[in-house]
Amino acid sequence: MFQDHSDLELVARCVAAQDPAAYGELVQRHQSQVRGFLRKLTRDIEFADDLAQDCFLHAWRKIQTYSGRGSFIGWLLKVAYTTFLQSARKTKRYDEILGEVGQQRAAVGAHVTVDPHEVADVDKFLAVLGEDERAVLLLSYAYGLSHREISSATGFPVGTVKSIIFRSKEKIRERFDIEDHQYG
Amino acid sequence: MTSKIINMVERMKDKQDRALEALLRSEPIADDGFTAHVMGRIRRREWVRRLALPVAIALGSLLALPPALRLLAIGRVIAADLRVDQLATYALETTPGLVPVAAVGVLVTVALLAVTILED
Repeated sequence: MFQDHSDLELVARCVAAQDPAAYGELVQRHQSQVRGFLRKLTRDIEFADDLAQDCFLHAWRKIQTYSGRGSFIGWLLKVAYTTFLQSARKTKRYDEILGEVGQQRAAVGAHVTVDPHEVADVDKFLAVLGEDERAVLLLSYAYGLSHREISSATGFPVGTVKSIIFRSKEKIRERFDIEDHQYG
Repeated sequence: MTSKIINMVERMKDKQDRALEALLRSEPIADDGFTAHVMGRIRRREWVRRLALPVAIALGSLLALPPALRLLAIGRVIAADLRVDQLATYALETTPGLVPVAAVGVLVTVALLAVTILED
């Protein structure tokens, strides 16, 4: 029904008419990206999908705050990241994630050559990064957000976003050799 | 020569960037009822939000009606036969009738708070 409508048109319908059908189209369009982002952030599929549901509920209640500047998926990922932080602080899971990352960091010590074609688990790369670094790197490379959009999503100044990206790439470069190959 | 070196450095950075993009890009995740589940939760919350306040007001009004009518009757009596020396007695007689009204006020306030918490 709404396949031909742009994200902005659907948001306008949601704000003006509180149209659940229009919002349902938005959810369907972007659920894969939001769930993928949260799954990589939390490294727990069920927990990530629960957070994704909460994210879309929050987004429904606050949809009138989307100003139209920047992409809708950028705004959604901001809501997703905020939802993740709120949940992480509330639950013991936060300490468990820190503990897991700490253990994996200890394990990843040697210089490893990795062929991207053979690596199925990007957690090896993400595990060497801190929570903030992981989020910023995902938003930049997985979802193509600009530095300004990442700054808006995470609350970090643009300069800090650039520093985090640089630092994260250095960490990955130190521990892994990503071989060159043709990218489609 | 310098520009060639700079271009080579940029191309090397681009290769690492492309490698990261390829690694971090997610495979599409099938909906598998996710959207339907989210929309179901939204519709249920909308119903609760729309019904909670009218129900609380209706319930509160029903509870408040008898004591309110009683207060009205007492007020008429006072107005008809007002004697200053009996005001204190009238006040003492009226106070018990105010307790249910105050309770209803608390009930409506709690209902409004509950709606707000549910929305959160």
